[in-house]
Formats: sequence, C-alpha cells, structure tokens
Amino acid sequence: MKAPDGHWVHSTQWVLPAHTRVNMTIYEYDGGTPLRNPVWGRVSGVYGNSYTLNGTKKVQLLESTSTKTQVAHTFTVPAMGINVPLYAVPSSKLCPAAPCTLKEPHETIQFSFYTGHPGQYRWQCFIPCGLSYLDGNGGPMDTLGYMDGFLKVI
Amino acid sequence: MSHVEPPSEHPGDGRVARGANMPHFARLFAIWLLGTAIVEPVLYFLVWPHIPPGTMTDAARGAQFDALVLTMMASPVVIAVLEYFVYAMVVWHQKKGEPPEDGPPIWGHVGIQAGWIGITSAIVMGAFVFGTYELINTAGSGGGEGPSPIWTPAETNDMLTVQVIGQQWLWTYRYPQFGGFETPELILPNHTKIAFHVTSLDVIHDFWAYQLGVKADANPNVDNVAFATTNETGRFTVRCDELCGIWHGAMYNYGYIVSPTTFYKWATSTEKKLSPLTKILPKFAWTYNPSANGAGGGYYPASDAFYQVYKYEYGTSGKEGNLPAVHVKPSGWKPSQAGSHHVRER
Amino acid sequence: MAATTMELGAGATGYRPTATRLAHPWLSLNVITAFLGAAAGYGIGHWIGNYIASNYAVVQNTGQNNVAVVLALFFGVLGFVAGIGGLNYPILKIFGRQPEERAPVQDWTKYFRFSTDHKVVGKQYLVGVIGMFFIGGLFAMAIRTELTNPNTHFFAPDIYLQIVSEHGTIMMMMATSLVVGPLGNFLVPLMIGSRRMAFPRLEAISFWIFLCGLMVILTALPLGGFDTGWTGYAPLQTEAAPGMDAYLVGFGTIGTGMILNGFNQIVTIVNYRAPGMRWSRLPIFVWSMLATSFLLTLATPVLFVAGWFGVLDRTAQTAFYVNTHGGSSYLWENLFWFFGHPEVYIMAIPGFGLVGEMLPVFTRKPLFAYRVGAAGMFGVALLSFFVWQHHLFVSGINPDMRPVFMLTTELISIPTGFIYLIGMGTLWRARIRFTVPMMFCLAMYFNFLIGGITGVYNSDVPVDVTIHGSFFVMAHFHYTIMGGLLFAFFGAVYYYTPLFTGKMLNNTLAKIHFWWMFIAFNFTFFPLFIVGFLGMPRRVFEYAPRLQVLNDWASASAYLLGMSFLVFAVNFVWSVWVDPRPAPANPWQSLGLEWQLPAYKMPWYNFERLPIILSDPYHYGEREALPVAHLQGVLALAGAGAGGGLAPVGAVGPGPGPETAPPGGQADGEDQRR
Repeated sequence: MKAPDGHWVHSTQWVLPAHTRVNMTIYEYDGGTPLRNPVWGRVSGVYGNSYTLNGTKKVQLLESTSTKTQVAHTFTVPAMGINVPLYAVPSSKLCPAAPCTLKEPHETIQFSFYTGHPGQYRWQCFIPCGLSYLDGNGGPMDTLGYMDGFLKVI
Repeated sequence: MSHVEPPSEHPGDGRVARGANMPHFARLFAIWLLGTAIVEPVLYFLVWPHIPPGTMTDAARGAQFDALVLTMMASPVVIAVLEYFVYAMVVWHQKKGEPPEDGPPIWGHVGIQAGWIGITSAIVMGAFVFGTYELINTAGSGGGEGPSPIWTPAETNDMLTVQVIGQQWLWTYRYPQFGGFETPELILPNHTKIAFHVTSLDVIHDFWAYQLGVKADANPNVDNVAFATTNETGRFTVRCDELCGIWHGAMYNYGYIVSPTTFYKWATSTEKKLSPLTKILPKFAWTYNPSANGAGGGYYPASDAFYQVYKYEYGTSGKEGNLPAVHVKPSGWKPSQAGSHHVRER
Repeated sequence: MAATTMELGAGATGYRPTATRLAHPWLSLNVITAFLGAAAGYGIGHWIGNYIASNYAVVQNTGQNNVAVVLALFFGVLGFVAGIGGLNYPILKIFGRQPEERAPVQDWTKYFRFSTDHKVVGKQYLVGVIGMFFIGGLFAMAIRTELTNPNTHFFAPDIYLQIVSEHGTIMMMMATSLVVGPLGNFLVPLMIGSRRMAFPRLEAISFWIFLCGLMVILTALPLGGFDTGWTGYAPLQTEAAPGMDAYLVGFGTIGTGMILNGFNQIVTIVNYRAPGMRWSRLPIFVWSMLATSFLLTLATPVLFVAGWFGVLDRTAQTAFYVNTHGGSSYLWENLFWFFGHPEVYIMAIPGFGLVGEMLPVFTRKPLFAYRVGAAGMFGVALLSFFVWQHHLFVSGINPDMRPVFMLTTELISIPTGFIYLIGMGTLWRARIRFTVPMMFCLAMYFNFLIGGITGVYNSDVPVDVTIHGSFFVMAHFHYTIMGGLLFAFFGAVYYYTPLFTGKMLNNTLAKIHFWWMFIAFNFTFFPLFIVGFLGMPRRVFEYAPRLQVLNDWASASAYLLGMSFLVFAVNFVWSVWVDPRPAPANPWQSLGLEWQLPAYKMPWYNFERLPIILSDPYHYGEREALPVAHLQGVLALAGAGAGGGLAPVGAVGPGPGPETAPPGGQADGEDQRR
C-alpha cells in the first residue's frame, strides 16, 4: 500500500476511505492446503459474491480438503462479511524463495468491496497456515503483520 | 465458646459489666432494620427489571431472578456488617484528650459465636437450595451441560437445534434441521426452544450469547449442549468468553431473534442459496476432527498410527451414539411447531 | 540433638556463637556470581537443546526450538542457584565431605548473598515482592491504557495479550509469596520464640528460586510472549510462541520455591516453638501461616505436574492436552484449577492472619473468639480443595456435579465469615486507635466484604452463566486479593517496619497513601463489576462502545491507584534511608513476643536464651495478666508503654507455664514439640 511519503510499503494495516468501492488485486504465490473449515471456500461480501481469477475466470466457490486443495489463503474481514479464498498455485510450481516477483508463477485475484461505515476492521486468513504449529494457528497466524491485520476505514 | 484458658491467665475478666452491651445491640438492630426495610423494596420494585442479562429467554430471565434473590439475601448482610464497622469506628474509638486506655478483655461469647455460625450456615444453605432449584428448573439455566445433558426442557418435540462451531477466530452456525447449512449469521425464531450444540475446531472458546443468558465452552471434540427458550425478538451479542489467541477480543458478532415465520423464510432460502457450499462441507456431526495434515499445521506427524484409527472412528461419523436421541431432529423445523404457550412466565 | 541441647543449656552466658567475616567478600559467591552462573547455564541449556532437537520437523519448519528454550531456562535457573551458593552444601555432601557450618555473613553484603538468617531472607523477600508488584503494576497500567477506547488501539492485539498475560502471571506469583515470604520468614521464628527456621538453607534457596521465577517469566517477552493469560489454557498453550515455555518453566520454578517455603514453615511451626508455646498460645498470624503452608505444600505440586505435562506437549510432542491424540483439553483445566483454587486462598489467608494480629493491638482488646478464627482459616484451607470446578461451570465438564461444587463453594463462606466474627467481636466496645495499620485493617474488611459477597454470585450457577469469564470475575478477585491481601500487607508493612529497620515511616505520608490507595482502588474496581455484568469479557482489546464511560473512569482511577504506590515508595525510601527517624521500642505497645525485643538489633540467632512462653499475646485490658514470655533478662527489654497492661518482663519471676521445663539444663530439642 502507498505510504504518505509516496513509497509503496508492505503492511497488513490499511487505511481506506469510508463508503467507497475498493478494487483490490491480490497476487497469490503460495501452494494450497486444506481448509480447517471448508465453509471458507465460498466467496462472499464482495461485489457479485465472486472474484475474477487471472483476468478471465469467475470464481464463487473453491474446495479445499485433503483430496482437493485449491485454496492457499483467505482474505476474510468478519465484521464486513468479506471472505475471499485465494486460489492456490500448484505445489510443483511454487517460487523457490520469497520474496517472489511477478515473473514467478502466481495467481492474480481481482475483486471489489464496499467499505461502509468508518471503524477498525480486522482481517485474517482462515487457512491455518502456521506450518508445524498445533492446528496451524500459531506463529504467523498469531502475530499481527503476517496473516492478519486491520482495515482502518475513515 | 468462651475462653478456656486457666483463669489465672485472665484476672481481668470480671470487670466486664453485663448491662453495658444492650444499648449498643438495640441501636445497631434498629439501624439495620431501617436500612433493610428501605433497601429491599427498592431492589424488588426498582432494580429487578434492570438486572442483566434481561428477559430475552427463559434462561436469561432465570439468571436475572436469581441475581435479584441473591442481592436481596446479601443486602441485609452487607448492611449489617458495614453498619457495624461504621458504628464501631464512631462510637468505640480512643477519644482525643482522654488518657490511652485498654478495652474490656472480652475473649469470646458462646451465644454470639454459635448464633453467627448458625445464621451464616442458614443463609448459605438457603442460597444453595435456591440455586440448585433454579439450575434444574431452567434446564441448566443456559450453561453448557456437556454432551449428555441431564437437565433438559420438559418437551423437546418442537426444539430447534443450532450447532455453534468455534474456530480461531470466528463463530459459525449449522442448522441440521435445514440440510445442515453453515453460516456466520445467527438467526433464531421467537417462542421456540433452542438447543445450542457448542463445539470447537481448534482451541477452547466460550460461546456467550449475552442477552440470551447462554454460555457454553467450545472444546475441540466435545459437544457441549445448552438450552434456552426465546421470549422476545431483537438483537443480541455473541462474544467469545475464553481467551483463544490474538483475535479473541474481536471474536464477536450479533444474532437476531425474529418471528417464527421470518425465521423459516430465512432458513429455507439460505439453505437453498448455500446448497453448493453445503455439499463440500463435512457431513453434519456433533464434533469435527479436521485433517491434521496441512490444515492441522502438521504439529504431530501425519503417519501417527493412533491418530489414523481415531480419525476413522470419530472424525467423519460424529458421535451421535453418545447423545440422547431426543436432541437429534433430522426432519425439518416448521414455524407452526413453535408455540408461545410453552414460555414460562415469571 | 546434642547440638540443640548445648544451645539451650548453654549456662550462664547463653548461646553466643562468633560471627564470620569473609576475607574476600567480592570473590565469594554473591548475586553477581549468580547472574554469571545463570548466563552460563542458559548458554549450556540452549546448546544442548539445539544439539538434540535441531532435526525435529517442528523445529525446522517453524524455526522455534522449544527444547532449547526450556533447557536454557532450566539450566539458567540451576546456574543462578549454583552461582549464589545454594548448591554448595548438597554438592559437598555428595562428594562425601563434611560442609563447614558457618554463621551468616554480618556486613551489608549479606543482603546480596545466600543468607541463612531468617531476618535477612525476610528483608530480601520484602524487596523482591514489592519490586515484583511494581513490575506487574506497570503492566496493569498498560492494560488500562488499551481499554480507554473501545476500538482505537494503543497496542497490537498480540502485544496486548502478552501484557495481560504478564500482568496476571507476575501478580499471581508475587501474591503467593507476598506474606509468606517476607513476613512469614521474618516473623514466625520471632513469634514462636525460635532461633531460626527449621531448614535455613531451604529458606534461603526458596527466595532465590522465587527471584529466578520472576526473571524467567520476564524472559517470555523477548521470546515472543505468551497469549494465554495467567491461566494458560491448553491447547492454546500448545500452539503458542516460545514465550509459553517461559510461563511453564517460570511457574515450575516459582512452584518449587512455594513448596519449599511452605514445607519449611510447617516444620518450623510444629517443631520449633519455644517452651510453653502451646497451640492455644500461638499468635493468629502463625496459625494463618500454618494453614497457608499446608496449601502451598499440597496444592503446588499439582501445578508443577500440570506444567511439566505442558512442557512435554510442547517439546516431546506428547498429547496430554490435545484431544485428537487421546489427551484432553479438560485435563489442564482440571489440574490447573485443582491447584488454582487453593492458591487463591494461599493469597487470602495470610491477609486474615495479619489483620487478626493487628486488630487487638489497635483496639486494645483481646482477639475475640481466637479459636474460631484459627478454625476458620483451617476450614477455608480444607474446603478450598473441594471447589475447583466452580471455575468450569459452563465448560461442559461434570454437569451433574454442579450442585456439589455450588454447595462446597458457598460453604467456604462460613469459615470465611469467622474472620468477620473475630474482627467484629474484637471491635465491640473497643478503644480503637486510628493508626495507619488499623486503617488498612478496616479497609481490608470493607474490601473483602464486597469481594466475598460477589463471590457468592460467582458460586451460583444460574448467575455465573452470565458473569463467568467477565470483568465481574476480574473485579471480584481484585477485591479479594488486592483489596484483601494487599491492604493487609501494606498495613503490616507500616506496622512492622519499625521492627524490621528500627525506623518509623512518616505518618502523614502514610495517611495520604492510605486514603489515596483506598479511594482509587474502589473507584477502579467497583465500576468493573458493572462492566462485567453488562457483558464485557475478560482479556479483550475491543469492547462495546456503550461501556466506554465506565472503562475510562476505571482507567483514570487505575492511574491514580498506580501513583498512590509512589507515595509509599517515597515514604519508605525517605524514612528508612534518606532521613531516618529512630522508632521507639515497641511503638504500638503490642504484647506480641516479636515486639518484646528489638529485632533489627538482634543477632542472627535471635535469642541467646530461648524465651519461655507464659501466655498468648492478646491480654489487652488485663492489668494483672502474666507477660507473654519470660525472657530471662538477657537483652534490654522494650517498654510496655502506657496502658499496655504489661508489667516489665524482666521483673516477673521465673514462673514458667504449667508444662514448660525449668530454664536451663533439662529442656532439650524434643521438649519443644507439643
């Protein structure tokens, strides 16, 4: 996101204008893992309850179980009802080391949502992606700035 | 008991004048009576309706009434003790200008001590008997009763079953009588008995529907059941009440009690709308055991043989066998089944 | 028991061993070598952990090595204890050498050494607990800062949980030793007429272990903190950051100190009473120490074991607390509260004892219904083992047992009520002297009344369904622990500082501190009952905006409450070190044995001749009563003061109690047992 000094910085805490339609693009580089609760495979809370995958495909529902792993992470803002499961890169094509560039294999996910009333809204990922933590919910899932953050709507 | 040391150790005992006590007793009793006579009606008539958590369900109403009774029992005790301390400080302190002197050597009084023990025991036993009656009478008073509840509502035929699933860090709800769809929204019909089946997918959460007077821990692999009968339409707050990690404080949402027909419309339309999602959900069960591989984080090696057996037995089929059949209502729920005549009046 | 016989029957000169002075005080073991030992131990433990566990899949994937952290902390504690000299004796014994028995060092460096003088250990504890209290209090200030606004955050949510957890854990650890540590160790031998605690080395080691526990729990912060609160519920515990290891090892460390201290107190009180100190003459504070020590000794091992299971789950990947692998998340809850509820009485009973000890002095009356008071403390202690599931009324565990736990919990209010009986009975037609310690005692009764009555709400299942886990519970235990124990403790600090140091604390500052603390405390915590009843759960960083006014009020009051302790700190530093005013001997005209001799001037062995106890210390208002003890005129005596009713002790004839041995000769160690 763009900081006040004009630079683009990595952050999980965003400031957004209230009552505004926000177009969001997510570049997804990670492989898929099963959802702990498959209910988070459904796209909701965004315009059309769907998103556009790589500019062409419309996605409404993804399945991520032990046999079929399509979801890498989710972008979920519970208080706004937003849930966007991010389509995963096949695990054989993952970029070898972070930070990955746009030249590496990735998925482009585009959607829009309406910010509504001012306030602080937390977002988090609902794939327990803390590898090797019990239930996958430790480490990055439990630390602000990794798989979670705030939308500050002003 | 009076002091039983050899008398030679207490040569001053005889100095206590017996008559000196009565005026103090009389004054203290009069003040106490007056205070109690003022406070008790105020509690009953003015405070009662405002005691949380309100009257949205019978469980909430029971908790409210219980809190009133406890307050009315506690008030005379508080008044007596506070009054006594203030009286003692005002009347029995060392006056300025008087030579410092010791008080009368009173070592004890059998009657006072026995009376004290008797009165406190009576109050305690009263609170216990009343609390137990209320606990059983309101079918567990909205508290989680574990997988095999022993205090259940008298009639369970028209009960709505709602499964509450805690996960880090959100609540979702499944409605088994409507095809088992799962949603983050909690909508309940009015004038209906509700059975909340609370479980968790990871750590311990605590489902607290504040205005409903319902609270039940969500433990992984445990089906914790709580009952409540809805009385009023409106909005209520759901909060997580057991520390569950970074977003514990943000793990709340609002639920609504609506009329039975509105609820039925919402439930059937949501069932239809979510049917593609419902297909990929695990089959409805009282507890869930998500795959530990990948999604589970891989803390324990997936090749653990014990784990495989355990998953086969419980993971997908659920634990219906452990539950009284009365809580399982696989057939749909219709608004006509709800009746306001079941609601317990206060 | 030859040595004891010699001590007692030392003839005309009494027991007067020569003090030792170290040739090179800075080269011998002290707190600096202790820190060196801790650093070395930490490094060794960390290296071993990395050596044995670096191949673990969990370690490779997460980059966090719980084995290394646990071993580092464990060896760090071991290194600290070895560095202070706590292991010298057992190590020498292991190698078959007879350790040299030396009198404790006598110069000022004794406070920074492994001292076996119970008065030194008491003072070390006093500084330790007050320092710990201030550290925990700073975390409380941070919590209240975050809660000034319902949804604008001063701290990130994970940082906030670390603050909450540190506050809770530090305060709980501190409060378990708040009275037993400083006052128990200092006063019990003086009150029962003993030269020392039964196990002086255990006593000393318990303090240094206590200090280690504080340091271990603070290392959680650089390790990433822990987010479980002081209750540490599993399985959240199992998935938490390495700071959780510090919590588990820290509680294990503190727990070891608690067990040792409690065990030492029990043995001392049972076996080291002076001749004539019958059970019926034991000061009420010693009764409270005895009851507390039984809880310390019997309840703490359960915590130790629970923490050990947690360490195994996090390092060796056992599954004590993980349901899907055959463990149970209920197991931690059960074990933790099986320890945890006796523990809250570990924190309450000493307060009862202190108040019971001070009230007779300032009402100038005997303690009313002394035996009922002692029985009340033991009743509370006994019942506290049967109430733990009232913390789990909505957990789904044993629903059929709820009425039983409701009953046991409410029954506990009967023996607790005895404490009010003795207090109110003692006030009856008294001559109350409104000194600062007395004001703290009366405030304790006021606060504990509110804390106790709200406890009945918690014990009642239907009401508990609403208030369980809410700010109501939080306010309740702050009223009992802070309003009860801490007020009694500060009363006792004002009361006993002349005995500890020979200096009087400034009375005006003390009164300012009392009123400031009392008002700010009630302003802080009373609104939080309402906040909890209105639906605010504990440990949240966001709450309903309608509760902001009450929360802001509580936060503002909490800052004031925090500042009130600065008054105390200034007073203490000023009156003891900067501008000391010598205290009169026995400034409160107490009849207690501990006040009859100036403890701050006493040698490390307290008594050259053991006193012979003649009566209990509550004979106020009895002009012809016997003095509390026959001190054989060995040391100069404190004056009994005006109206104290105590004849000068030295003037009283030998007159030993009915079953006491005559002084000198016959009395040996065994005769102290009754």
